[in-house]
Amino acid sequence: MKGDIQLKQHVLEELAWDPAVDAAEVGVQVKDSVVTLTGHLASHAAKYAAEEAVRRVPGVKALAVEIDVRLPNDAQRTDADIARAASNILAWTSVLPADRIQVMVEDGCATLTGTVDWNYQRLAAERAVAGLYGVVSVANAIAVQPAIAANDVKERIAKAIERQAADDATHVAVDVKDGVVTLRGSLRSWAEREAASEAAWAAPGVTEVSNIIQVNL
Amino acid sequence: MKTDHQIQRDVADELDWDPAIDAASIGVEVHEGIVTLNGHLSSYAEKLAAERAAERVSGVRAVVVKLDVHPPGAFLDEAIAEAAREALQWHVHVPADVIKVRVEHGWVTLSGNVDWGYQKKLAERTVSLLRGVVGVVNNIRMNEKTAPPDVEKRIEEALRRHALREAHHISIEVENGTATLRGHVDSLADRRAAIGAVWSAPGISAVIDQLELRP
Repeated sequence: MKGDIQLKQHVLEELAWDPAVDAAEVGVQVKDSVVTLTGHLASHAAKYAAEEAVRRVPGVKALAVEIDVRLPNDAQRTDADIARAASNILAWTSVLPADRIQVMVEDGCATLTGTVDWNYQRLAAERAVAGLYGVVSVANAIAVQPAIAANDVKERIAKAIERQAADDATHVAVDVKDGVVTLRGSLRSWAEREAASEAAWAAPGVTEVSNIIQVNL
Repeated sequence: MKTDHQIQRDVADELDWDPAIDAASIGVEVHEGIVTLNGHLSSYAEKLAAERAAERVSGVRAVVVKLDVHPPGAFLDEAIAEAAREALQWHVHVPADVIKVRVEHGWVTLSGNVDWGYQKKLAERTVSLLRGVVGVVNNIRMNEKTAPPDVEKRIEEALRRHALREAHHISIEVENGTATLRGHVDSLADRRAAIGAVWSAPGISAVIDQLELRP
């Protein structure tokens, strides 16, 4: 297990390594392997990139993001322009169902509402607007309304996790109740933890995934 | 060690499992760990998803993609070009004014010069997700920049930081902005991660991948 000082060093190096992040603007605190990011960045996309960078570092148990987005003047857009660009990109995104997602923008904060069949569509919609000029934050209130529910979901999730594992990834316990999947156990990295989440979301009939898998090195 | 038969079944299951893919329209063949996907799909995003799904399965050494894209409905090349233009222009991390877009029968070709590998990849990703796109040719080049003298060491450190399982079995050489990776990795996902890390290095204009998959 890494000490907090070494972990902090790795997080700082990874932020500096990522060309999408202005690392000088980000402060890093680490306590008991929980990382807190503070500071100001120039876009929501950069904030998103900073979060992703921290997730690549093994040994991070949890992440708190207290970064403000402060748009430089040339990145400001009116709410009306942002809303128009957002609905245009959503309409053109091939994996999204047509006309089922609404966008509202207020002071650069975009709120997405509506329903989709799958969580990957919900995430695709969020990603599509997250990188737009003028966006300060994205609230994703899209609901997942599955078309069908399967009864052998638990078994199918466990099998999917197993299929992807190169070796012993079978420390994950899967529980399913009323479309809510709970994942427990321990894995060795955030990437494996995310992969388990994704596998669970891919099951038909799932409306929510509660991932309480611990990351242990 | 999985047999070709097991891999074929696992890839078929994984395609079926992924909600972004219409698995019924894809045929899977496997020969000595090399997977070939055949069929017709409705979007380019689906084609990319199928390729990735096959790569996720352990034991897969390479994926050959023989998938055609036939988008439902008619899309004019002009409309696709306009949508691609706007999507690039609105993305904070894409220097849109230096990227040129050309569309021919649904194929999008990107060209121009950017400073960073991630911008090149992001531009490609942005247009890949659009409706009506059949394929993407990424001819974006990198501006000539000088890589810092310690760039090899910095790439190695990044790979180690990501705890790529076999980071110490990968050797990196950089000459005139071209990085060559040699050695062994455990999975195609590790290989993708290693190449992604190298593209983030300053002054890298090309990456040559000579990584081999451990049998």
